[in-house]
Amino acid sequence: MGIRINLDVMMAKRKIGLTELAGKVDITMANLSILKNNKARAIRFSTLEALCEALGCQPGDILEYVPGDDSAGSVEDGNGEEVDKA
Amino acid sequence: MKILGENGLSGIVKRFIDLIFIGGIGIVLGLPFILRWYMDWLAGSTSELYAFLLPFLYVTGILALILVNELRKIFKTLNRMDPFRIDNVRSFKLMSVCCFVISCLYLVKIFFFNSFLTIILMMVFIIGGFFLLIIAEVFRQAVIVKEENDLTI
Repeated sequence: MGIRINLDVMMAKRKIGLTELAGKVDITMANLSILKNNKARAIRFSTLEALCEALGCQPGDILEYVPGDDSAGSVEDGNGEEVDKA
Repeated sequence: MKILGENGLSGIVKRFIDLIFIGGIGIVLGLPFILRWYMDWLAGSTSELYAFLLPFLYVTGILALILVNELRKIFKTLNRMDPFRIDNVRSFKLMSVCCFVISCLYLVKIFFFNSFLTIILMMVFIIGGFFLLIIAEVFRQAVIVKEENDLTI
């Protein structure tokens, strides 16, 4: 998936820590960490909205499209094969 | 009534399965004596029948124990409220294989020592094997959906 999350960049710009942001957005540290480390498969509009509100930014400031980047958010089935969700 | 959890229905069934498993181990271990006692009690049995039934019951008994053990593993995850795991898919597949092997053995038994119960058991294990195979696939798809949901923030 060629979508990259630039949450850490935005957090550094706003000088806000993971714990504080998790409190503001009302999601767990573990989930925020998954999001920050590009391990998430999808993001809910409600989460995106809360993040934008907390960081005072636009979705485009957090999300970035990188052509040909397949590293993030892949889901594997039990046989270790990547599953095509389309 | 609570269905899942240690204190729910699945917890009670798990304890019942544990008893079946322990009883099954006891029966398999004491099979030569139990079978001898049963055949002495049964009129008209031959040593030929004993020689066939002993290995037959050993193999089917061990397969049944494997089957029950996998069921115990599945119920453990049910009690932990985390049933959609890839381990359970493997367990269901292994259980279906056990069912098919047992039904094949009962098919062999039909030709040597047939009885109405043998045919019924063979049918039950064939249907059980197919059912478990389908459940395994349903669980595999559920695991994928759960993983997808877990990674949706």
